[in-house]
Amino acid sequence: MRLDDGLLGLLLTVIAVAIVMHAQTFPRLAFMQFGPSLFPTILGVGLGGCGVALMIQSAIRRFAGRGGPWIDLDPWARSARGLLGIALFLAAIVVYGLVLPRLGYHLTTAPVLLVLLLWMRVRWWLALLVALGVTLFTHQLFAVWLRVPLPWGLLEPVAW
Amino acid sequence: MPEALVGAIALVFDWQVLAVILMAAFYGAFVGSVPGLTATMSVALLVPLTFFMDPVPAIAAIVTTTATAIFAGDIPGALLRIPGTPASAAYVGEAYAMTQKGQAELALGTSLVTAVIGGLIGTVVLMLVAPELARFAIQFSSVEYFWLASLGLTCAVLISGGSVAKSLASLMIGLLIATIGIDVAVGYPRFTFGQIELLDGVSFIPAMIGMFAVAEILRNVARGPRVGRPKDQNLAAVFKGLGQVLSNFRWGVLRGSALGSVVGALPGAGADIAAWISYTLAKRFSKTPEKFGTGHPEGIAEAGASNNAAVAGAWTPALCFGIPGDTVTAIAIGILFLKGLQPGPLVFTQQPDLVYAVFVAFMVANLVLLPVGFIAIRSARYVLKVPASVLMPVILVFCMVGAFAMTNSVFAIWIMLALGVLAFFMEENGFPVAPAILGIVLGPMVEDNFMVTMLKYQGDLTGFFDRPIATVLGVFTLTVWTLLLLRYLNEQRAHRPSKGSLHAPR
Repeated sequence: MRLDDGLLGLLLTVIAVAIVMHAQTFPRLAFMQFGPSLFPTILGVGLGGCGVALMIQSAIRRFAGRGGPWIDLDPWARSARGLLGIALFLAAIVVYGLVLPRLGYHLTTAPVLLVLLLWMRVRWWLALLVALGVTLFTHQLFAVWLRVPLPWGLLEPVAW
Repeated sequence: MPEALVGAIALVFDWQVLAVILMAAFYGAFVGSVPGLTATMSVALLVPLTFFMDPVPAIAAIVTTTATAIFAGDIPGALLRIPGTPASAAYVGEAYAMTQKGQAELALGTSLVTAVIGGLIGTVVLMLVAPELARFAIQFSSVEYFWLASLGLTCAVLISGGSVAKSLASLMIGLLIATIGIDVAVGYPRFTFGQIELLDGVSFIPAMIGMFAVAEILRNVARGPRVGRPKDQNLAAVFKGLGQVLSNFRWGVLRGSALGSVVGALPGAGADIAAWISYTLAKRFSKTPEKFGTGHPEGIAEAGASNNAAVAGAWTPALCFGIPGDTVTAIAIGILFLKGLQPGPLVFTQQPDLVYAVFVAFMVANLVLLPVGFIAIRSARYVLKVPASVLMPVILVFCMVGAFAMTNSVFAIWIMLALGVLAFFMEENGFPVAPAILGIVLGPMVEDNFMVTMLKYQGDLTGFFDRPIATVLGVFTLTVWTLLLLRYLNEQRAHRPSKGSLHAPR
C-alpha cells in the first residue's frame, strides 16, 4: 500500500506533534533549562519538519498537475491472496506470542508452522514433515544446546 | 602489536572458532544463494545464536556469514538473473549474459576469485588504517563523538538513495525509537507507557530481526516468491580460463578493492553501493566499453572485488569509533554492546586481542570463501530448487524463537512484530530503512554525548565548536546538512517523482 507523499507527510507531522507534546511532560533538571525532554523534542521537530517537507513536495507536484492517486494499491494489495497472506503471517506472529507461554513450545510451533506451510501450498506430507522436523530441531538448538528456557506448557509432564 | 596479533591468531585458530567459521561460511553461502534473503537478514537470523557465544567466535561468525553471503548472491544472479543479495544487482545482467553464452563457469569463477581478492585487500586496508584512526580518536571527547556520530548519520541519509525528506524521516524514526526507555540524564522513563519491559529500551536484537527478517518475509508473502529454474549449465570447471581474465583486468580488480574499502567505511553505504560505483568505473575506464552488457567479465571482476572489500571496509568506523559502516556492522556493534564491549579507540589499547581477532577472522573468512564458494557453485543447482514456500514459514519460526530467546519473554516477539510491520510499511512507501537502523544503534551514543556536552558547557551552544577537531567535524556535518537541503530543493525543481529507495537493505 503506497500513500501519497502528502498523506505520509501529514501522518509524520501528527506523530511528531504528539511526541513533542508528550515530551513536554517530562521533568526538567532542577538547575538547568533542559532535561530528558530536550533530545526527543529536537527529534520530534526534525520529524515534523520532514513531514512538512513531504507535504510541500506533494503540493508542488499536484500544483504542476502531476499528482498521483492518494492511495496506490499494489497488485498484491488488490488480490485477496496477497492481503490474506500478509494477514495470516501477522496473525501467526500474534497467535504465537499469545499461545506460546500457555501451550508450550512444541504445541505452538508445529501447528503454526503447519498452517503457514499449507497456506504457501506446500504438499501436506512435506508440510507435516517440515513442521515436525523444524520444531524438534529448533528445540534441540535453542533449548538443549543454547539452554534457552523454552516453555513446555501442556507437555510439562513429558518434558525431556 | 605483534603480541596482540599472536594472541588473536591463537584466539581464532581454536577448533571451536574454526568450526563456527566453517558452519557460518556454509550458512552464508546458502542464505546468499537464495533470492530474497539478504546478507543483513542472514546476520539478523544468526544473532540469537551469537548471543550465546564468546565475543571472538560471535564476530567470526558474523564476518564469515557476510563475506560468503555477499559472494553467494552472485550465484542466482548468474544463473537466474535474480540477484541473491542487492550487492550483486549491479552486474547481474552482465553475469546472466555470460551464462547465456555458455560461460556461467567463467562468470562465477571470476566473481568468486575476485571476491576473495577484494575481501583480502579490504582486510589489509582495515588492518593498516584502523589502528592509526584509533590512535587519533583517543583524544576525542564528548563533543567530537557527538559530531562524529551526527556526521555518520547524516552521511547515511545522504547516501541512502531515497528522497531527502524520507531518508531524514527514517533517521528521525530510528533515533526516536532509541529514546524509548530510561533517559541518561535523570533516569526518567520516556515513552514506555508503563511497560516495565520497555524501561531498558527497545531490545535491539528483536528489533533487527523484525526490521530485516520479518519485513522481508512479508514482502515475499505479498509479492509471491520470485521463481525461476536455472538452465542446465556445466558448473564443474569453475577456475578454467580464469588466469587470463584476472591478468587482463588486474588493475580493475585492484581499483575495485580499493574503492570498496573506502565506500564500505562510509556510514550507510555498503557493498551494494560499492558494486554499483565500481561497475560504472570499470565501464568508464575500460578499453572496450562497448562489450559491457554483452557478457564481458571485466565489470564483474571489478565490482565483485569491490563489494567484498566493502564488507571489511565497513568495520573501520565500527572498530575505531563505534559507528557502524553498514547495517551488518550496526548489528555487530549491537551484539558487542550486549556482551559489555564498547567498540571505540579504547578497545585498541585495552583489548587489542579482540581487534586483531577481527582482522584474523576476516583473513580466515576470505580464505575459507574459496573452497566453500566453489562447493556453493557446484551445488547451486540443488540449492536453487529449495522452494521459498517452505523457507518463508520456517524462517518466521526462527525469527520468533530467536527473538524470544533474547529476553526469555514474549515481549520480544511483540517488538519484532511492531518493527517488522514498521519496516515493511516504510519500504513500501519509499523510506530507506538503513538510516533508521543506524539511528537505533547510534541514538544512545548521540544523545549521551549531546547531553554531556550541553551539561559541560551549561547549555552554551558555542561549546560544540570549542575544540579544533570538533570544529572541523562540526563544520563538515553542517556542510552535509546544507547539501541535503540543496538536494531537497533540487528534487522539487526537477519535479523528480520520489521513487523511493534505490538500495534495499543488504
